Amino acid sequence: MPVHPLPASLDTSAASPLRHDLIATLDRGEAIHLDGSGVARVGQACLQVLAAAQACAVARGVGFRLDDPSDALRHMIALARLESALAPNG
Amino acid sequence: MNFDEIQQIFFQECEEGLATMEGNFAAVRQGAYDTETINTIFRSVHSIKGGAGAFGHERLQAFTHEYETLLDLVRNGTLVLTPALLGTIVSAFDMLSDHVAAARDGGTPPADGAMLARLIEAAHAPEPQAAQDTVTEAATVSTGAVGNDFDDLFEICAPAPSTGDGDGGDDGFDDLFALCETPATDETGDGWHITLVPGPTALDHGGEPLLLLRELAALGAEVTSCDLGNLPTLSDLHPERAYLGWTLTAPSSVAEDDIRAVFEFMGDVDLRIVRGANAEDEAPEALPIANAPEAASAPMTDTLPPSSAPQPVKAAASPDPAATVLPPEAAAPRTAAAAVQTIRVDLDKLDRLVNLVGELVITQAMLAQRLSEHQLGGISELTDLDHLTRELQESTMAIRAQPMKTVFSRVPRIIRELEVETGKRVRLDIEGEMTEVDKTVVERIGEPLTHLIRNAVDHGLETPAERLAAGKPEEGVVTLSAAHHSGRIVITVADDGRGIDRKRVRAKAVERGIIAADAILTEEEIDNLIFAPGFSTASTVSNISGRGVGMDVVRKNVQALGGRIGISSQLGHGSSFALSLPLTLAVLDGMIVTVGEQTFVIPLGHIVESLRPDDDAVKSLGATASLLDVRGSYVPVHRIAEQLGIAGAIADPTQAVLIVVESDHGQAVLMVDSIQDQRQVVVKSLEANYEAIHGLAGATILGDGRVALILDVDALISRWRRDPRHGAPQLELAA
Repeated sequence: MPVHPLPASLDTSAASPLRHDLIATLDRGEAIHLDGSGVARVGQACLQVLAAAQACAVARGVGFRLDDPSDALRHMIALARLESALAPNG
Repeated sequence: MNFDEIQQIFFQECEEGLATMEGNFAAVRQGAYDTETINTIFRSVHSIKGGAGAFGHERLQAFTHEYETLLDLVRNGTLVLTPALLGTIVSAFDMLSDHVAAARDGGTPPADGAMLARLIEAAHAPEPQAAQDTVTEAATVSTGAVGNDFDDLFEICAPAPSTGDGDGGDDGFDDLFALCETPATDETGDGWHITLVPGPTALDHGGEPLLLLRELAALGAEVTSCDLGNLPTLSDLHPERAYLGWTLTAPSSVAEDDIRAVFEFMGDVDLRIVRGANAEDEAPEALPIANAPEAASAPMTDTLPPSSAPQPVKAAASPDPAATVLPPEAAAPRTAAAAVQTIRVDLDKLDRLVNLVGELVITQAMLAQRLSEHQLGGISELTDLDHLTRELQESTMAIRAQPMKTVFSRVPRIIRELEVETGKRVRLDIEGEMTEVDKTVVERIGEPLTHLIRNAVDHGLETPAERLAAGKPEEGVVTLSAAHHSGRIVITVADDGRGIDRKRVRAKAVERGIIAADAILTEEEIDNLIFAPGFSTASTVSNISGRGVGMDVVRKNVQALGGRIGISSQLGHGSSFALSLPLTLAVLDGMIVTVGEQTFVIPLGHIVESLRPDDDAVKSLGATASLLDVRGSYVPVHRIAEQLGIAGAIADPTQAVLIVVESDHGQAVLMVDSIQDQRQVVVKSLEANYEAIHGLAGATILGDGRVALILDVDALISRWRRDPRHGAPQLELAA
């Protein structure tokens, strides 16, 4: 399962390409496996794309993993109380 | 209220925010800062950004976006505040001020490309620098301590030891979650429950609702759950629309106004703030809410903890029936007592009120005069009316009072620019910035104050090399202070520089023909020569000061405010310029005197004493000049009637009343026929109602309806000193 590295900047402008990539992954029937170690900035737009992707993966019965989140990413996920919504499955 | 009026409020709040930032930068420079200091700076920028977006100031918004990003990294500890980074942040602040001014005045925004590049570069600095590079040791300690910033909380808990269940990973993630679940609200359950749902467009114009969460967390709030009920499927999701909502709790000690202030200028947000343990019953029940995972079930991996898909969970309701649920309107009064509430009033309305109160004071005085003519001056109702009128007047004047901070907050930037222009190093110390003074004084003191500060740096302070050679610290000190003193405000600009070289000043004055070569002058008189028109001792004319066209204008401006300037200086140790100003320009305490058939008011602030002299106390010098022996000192007697061309006045000083006054030129004696009264009078501007007249500070209407002119003591004595033999035959219109 290829690991998809998340970009350093996950601000609002990054939400659209991220969504596009995740839809493509799911459409290929692949599990989503993300590497969050390089994320320096993150905002609501990308977090909700990730949460929607996780829900979609659950619905399709494929895996979802967000590994090695950077401090910045981890902080924002915790701050927004999205730990469950971005938790791994499968 | 229309769009322009709302926007005007935004710009006023921008000014307040910039002033707040400047004050906090001063604290940072002195090392007396903590996490909240940086948070405050961040919030000011954040508010400006929000308003800029709301009112369509795109350049301002774009600039604040990058500025805010950098500040956010500083406040969450990602970046360490080194002197170099502080320099970038302060420089960006100056440019932010320019941006705000351009947006407010409709001007061209400053060229900010280079500064934006600096901000972005600083924000992407790879590693925090060593602690010894921080601005101060105190700052490092302070930011490292348990602060109220949520990110700091994570910084602290991140290295916590693992519970070690064998799943690998040692980053303390469980502890992190456990810590997150520690209730932030007080144990009484009487805290705030906040429901926050950013609208669909909340991400437009660089908006970032997560920053609101961080702001709230900084206040002590805890995010308890995230509402994912509106989140569409990935394929239906619009990537730049906001879909999430949050529920938070906050301690009851947090003021509701502080919570609401976080959302200032955040237009597209649905906010609900409820106090009480049962408040969650008020939350919309249909919305599914994703809660934080249980701490005990979280695995110790470097992967986010597993969980099933978000399940709709109804927020837990407290069973405590005793807790009260207050609607926002009812909750507000509970915080009102703690918070200072303000309203904004159009200045014209305020000025009309001040004017009307002035008229009321005059009418009250006229009424008192009429009643006294009928032997009714002592009735208690009149005394009560007098007290009430005076109280009303003082209260009205207090409305116009503003802190000197408004003016002082602009000074640090001036100092920064002067440091660059002169190559000198300057530390600015500010004292008494909360001293209040009339708005008119605040508005008009800026220019003379700026010139004095420029003068202090340009002429007063030595270069770093000169200071070191003189055994002084390399960094010069300019002290700016304000204080109330004897019913006036005294603003002082002092420096620890070279002081006034009186030999050089005197030589220059002789060279310029300002004084005769053989003139005998006191040290004070020599110091005052720097206020003479065209005087300059600068070796090189700079674009800062030194053209010799400033200090005389400074004195005129201060005098126009009813003030005066005093100088004290010690060669090699520095100089101090003290501006003594009235607290308000609208009323003054004065002595009502007569000269011939005319009535005048002498401002009480000038008067030292009044007396009817013995024959041997007055010494005549020629036909018209006299000196009064005031306890061994001979003070020149100034005949008002002669200077103002008033006929029928008493000519013999021993038959007149002599009033000893203090002026910019030392003591003098004003000769009048009689003293009528001592009272507070309402000042009517001659400039506004007629035109400026040299020697007169204004006019007032007395109780009997007559107009009395208010003497400008300094101006009268100044002219008399220049030409004591020939007083002005008539009142002279000022040029």
